[in-house]
Amino acid sequence: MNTPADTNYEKGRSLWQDAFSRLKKNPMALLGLAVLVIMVTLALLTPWIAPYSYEEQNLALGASPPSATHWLGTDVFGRDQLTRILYGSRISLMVGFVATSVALCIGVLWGIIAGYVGGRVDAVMMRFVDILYALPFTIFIILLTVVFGRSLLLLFLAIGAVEWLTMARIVRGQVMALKHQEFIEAAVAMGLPRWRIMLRHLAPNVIGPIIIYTTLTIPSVILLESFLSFLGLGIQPPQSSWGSLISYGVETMEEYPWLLIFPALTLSITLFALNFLGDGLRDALDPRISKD
Amino acid sequence: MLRIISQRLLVAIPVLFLVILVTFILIRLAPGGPFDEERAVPPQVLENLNKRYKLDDPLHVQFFDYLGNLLRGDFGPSFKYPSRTVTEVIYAGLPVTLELSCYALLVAMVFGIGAGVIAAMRPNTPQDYVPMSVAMVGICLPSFVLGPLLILAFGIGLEWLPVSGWGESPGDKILPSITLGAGYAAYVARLSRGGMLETLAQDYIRTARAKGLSEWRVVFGHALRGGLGPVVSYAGPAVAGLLSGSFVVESIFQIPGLGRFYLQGAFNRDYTMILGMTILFAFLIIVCNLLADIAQIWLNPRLRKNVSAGGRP
Amino acid sequence: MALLSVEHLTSRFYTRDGVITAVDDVSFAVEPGQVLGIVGESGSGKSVACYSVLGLIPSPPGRVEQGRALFAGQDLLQMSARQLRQVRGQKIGMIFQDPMTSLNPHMTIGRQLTEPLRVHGRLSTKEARLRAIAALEEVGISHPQQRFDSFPHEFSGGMRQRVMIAMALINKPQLLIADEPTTALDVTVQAQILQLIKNLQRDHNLSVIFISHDLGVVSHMADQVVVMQKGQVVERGNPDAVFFQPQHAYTQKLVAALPNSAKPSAPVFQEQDPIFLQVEHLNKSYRIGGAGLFKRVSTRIPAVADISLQVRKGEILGLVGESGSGKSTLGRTIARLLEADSGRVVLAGRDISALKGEELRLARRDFQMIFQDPYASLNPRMTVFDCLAEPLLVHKLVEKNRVLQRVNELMDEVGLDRRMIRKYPHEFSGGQRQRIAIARALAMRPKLIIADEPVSALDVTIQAQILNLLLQLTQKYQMAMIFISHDLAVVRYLSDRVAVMQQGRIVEEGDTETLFAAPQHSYTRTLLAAIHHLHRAG
Repeated sequence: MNTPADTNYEKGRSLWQDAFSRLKKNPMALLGLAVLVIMVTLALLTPWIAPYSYEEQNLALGASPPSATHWLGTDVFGRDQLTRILYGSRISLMVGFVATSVALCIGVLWGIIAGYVGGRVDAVMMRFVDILYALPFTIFIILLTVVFGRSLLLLFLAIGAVEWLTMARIVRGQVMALKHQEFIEAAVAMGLPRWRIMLRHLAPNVIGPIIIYTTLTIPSVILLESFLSFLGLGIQPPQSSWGSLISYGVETMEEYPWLLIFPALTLSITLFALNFLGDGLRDALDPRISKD
Repeated sequence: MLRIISQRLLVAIPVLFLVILVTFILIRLAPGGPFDEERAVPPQVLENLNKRYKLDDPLHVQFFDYLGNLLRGDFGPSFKYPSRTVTEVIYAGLPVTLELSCYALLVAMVFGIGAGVIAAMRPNTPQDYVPMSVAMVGICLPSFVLGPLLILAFGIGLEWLPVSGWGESPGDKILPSITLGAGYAAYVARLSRGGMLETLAQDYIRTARAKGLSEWRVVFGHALRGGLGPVVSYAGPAVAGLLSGSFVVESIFQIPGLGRFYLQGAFNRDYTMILGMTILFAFLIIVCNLLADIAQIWLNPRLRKNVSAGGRP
Repeated sequence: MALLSVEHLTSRFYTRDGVITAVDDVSFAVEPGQVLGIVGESGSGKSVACYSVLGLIPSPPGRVEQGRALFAGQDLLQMSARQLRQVRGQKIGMIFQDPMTSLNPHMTIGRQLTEPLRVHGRLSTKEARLRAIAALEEVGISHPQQRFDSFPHEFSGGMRQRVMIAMALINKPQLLIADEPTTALDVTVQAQILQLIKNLQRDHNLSVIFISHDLGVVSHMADQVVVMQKGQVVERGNPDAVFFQPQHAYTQKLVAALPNSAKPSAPVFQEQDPIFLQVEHLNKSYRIGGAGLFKRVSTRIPAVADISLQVRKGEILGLVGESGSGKSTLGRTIARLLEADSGRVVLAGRDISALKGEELRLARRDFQMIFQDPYASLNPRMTVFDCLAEPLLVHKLVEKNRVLQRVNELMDEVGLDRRMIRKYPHEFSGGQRQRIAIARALAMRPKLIIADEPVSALDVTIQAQILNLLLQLTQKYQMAMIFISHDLAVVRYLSDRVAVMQQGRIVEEGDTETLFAAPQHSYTRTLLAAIHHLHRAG
């Protein structure tokens, strides 16, 4: 349903527009967004822009510090670090986005149903979440990788299975708060069909927090994946993710510090960017929680 | 109050049982027996091993057998190192891991709450920006990045602090504790800042000021109780994270805690080891969550008496 | 010499959206032992002025730019933080509007009470406790020794306010600043608290600054009055002069907006008209769940107990009661937002309480609701056009190409500018939002409108406009209306008949003027006696 495009009418300013203009005034958030966009672009274009192949070895060269031919140096096998970091970013970012999407889908659905239906259904659903929340998931993931071997798919599913819990809680909280708002009651009183209430009244008001927490879940996921890879339980060589690169770097950090510094820097910068963006979104979309 | 504790316990026990069951099944169902990596074992030896570890019995018998042993505190022998029992390993490593986690928790709480409260007292000023920026760094530098960096800086570069061992040289507990606690300190700082800001905006803080109380009294006497709510509810997940995170730190700093054995067990497919430790960790985490829950209820007088009664709508 | 003399006070707030001058060159004075009333609507700056004097405005956005506040010869605005703290809680006490949120929920009231004694007076814990118990007794809290260790949530609203008063006065200050102290309380409780303040003022020769939007209350309490609008003082004088011979246009408007007269227009319905809405033996109770260790133990609290009433076409029935009376629950139950336990509701011959599912959904267009909070009852993400068009389209009341026209007509009817239909709710004022809500309800040409405290959240001057709008519309469209309110004056202005509710039952019902002139039930009498009309002292 669109408003009439008649020039006589005074334009309104929706809450989204308000939020967007607030976001634009936040330099750190914009910086984070820019960094993120650059990272993702580089990751996508890697097969075309990477100077070398990630398994190409140059044993004669061995580990060498940054130079004109190898901008970020090479590792003990003579593999180009820049290439490996770029390919690593593909893995890490992919895990980040995919696992987050899994968490998003499950969590949002769970939260909306529990929140809107309420009553016993809600009690049962959230009890389930509470119980799972209390478990040592990292340990379970390690267990799973031991049992089922290391695979990317497993990683996605396992991480997604952990993160959906927080999302479900947040969405349910939001829906519950909204459910009792008078405009929802008014929508019921007007005789609107249920689907319409959920779609046009509930959903647009829940999207805000969902966006915020999704943006903040991605770094959490990437961190978890890096953690597992660092322990040797994630990605298998010769594929590399940032975590495994850092792991190699730690082993040789005294002799070849650049093997540690560059992957660590990349990971940290990406996490920074995502966190600043998430913070900025939170400030913009829900000014009550903001700094003032 | 007692009612609430017993309610929570009643939930915790089945959960623990479930954890044991699931872990047990997972391990037994894992493709490849424990001795796959080795060269083919003569059938006679295999039979002995099976008997010794009772692998011939049906699954559910094995399970209850294991459960029985657990209740007696016996985690069974290690698969890979038959001369050691898992229980021994736990006894050796648990105190170290617990100590490390405690120190890290201390670091997290003291620095985190301190930074958050200070920041909340003067929002949007340098007093706020500085601690919060440091906190952001803490969140974005995972322990496996921070640890090596600290080692490079303080251990190898400046040579102020030892970089390995636990309790062997003075000061060797400092870097690992900081490494493990830093990320959590950062998160706690953000949580406490948020909680304090929200509490400081409440009406009853205005009343406290109108009574002529000093700012310190207002913050610590009145605001802190409410403001730290989010931190207390985070305590449960934080402990879970600390216990898991200790693996990495123990590995970086060569600390003889449980983490090292757990990882070894994971790589070696030492089933009893992994089983035992998973259960142990689950148990610790469930206990901590329970304590955190109870602390939360105790902190909020409204919940204390009324959890069972429910309020009038 | 005046106890407190405020001169040319100006305070500004520097926010993200611009600079707001909340207090603009305001001056007033309080004499020893006297009560100064400050009246104004929201945004008038009455509260901010007093907070500025004590240094209680939130300082990053707010700033006191100029002025003096002479208290016993010293300028409060020039004092250091430490000196100011000596004054607060010791020489000047303050009480606030909402006692629930103004008391620390984590501390026993005993500790909160003794705090000013221990901090300022350096009393020992024992002495402080004795003083506190005496103070509790003085403000009318029974069993003060036991109550000493209770928490705020264990008290009722009125008792909490008594505790606040005790706390503010415990160090025997010379001046008490009361910021809307009774606004959040029930009418009958309000009367008690006002009496308490009056007694204390007399007993301790206390000066009081009484801030309120309620002119009637102020006229009873104050010796001198100051009227504020948009940060400025527009009139001052003694209450008789200000309220009964107002000089300034704004004061005149304020006084005129008070609904203290009977319904202005003649009833539209005829006595012999058939009953349009019939409610029969309606019951609704809430279940409070207790949790035994293994099973749920629950008690039922009846919110609506065996209610029957009738309304005719074009008639307005006022439903009056204090908090907990069940009036809101009744309204929502009739509107099928809550499910009744038993009973019938028949509207224009149709039993709407028996409808279910799709039938119910479609029938809803006949009975609509208007809510109290204009900020919460509109979807913040829909434009006004969407908001008004939605019911039209969902119930297929107009063809698509005529929707715009119909929406424009609705805007005209409620007195809003047509050009605003592309704007969002947050871009309107409270009164305008309520008009939108009314237009939305009206869009479906309902037979019955249930209005739940529709003007309680609005300023007095806006209130009058909305009330007149409602009157106009019910007459024009011959709708039946149930008007729920705790404000008796408003109910009197609007309703043809009134039903008084107490604890889920209707205790008295009848024609408005008759009931107001000669109430039969004791509760009605108490309610009416508690109203503070504009009071002429001299």
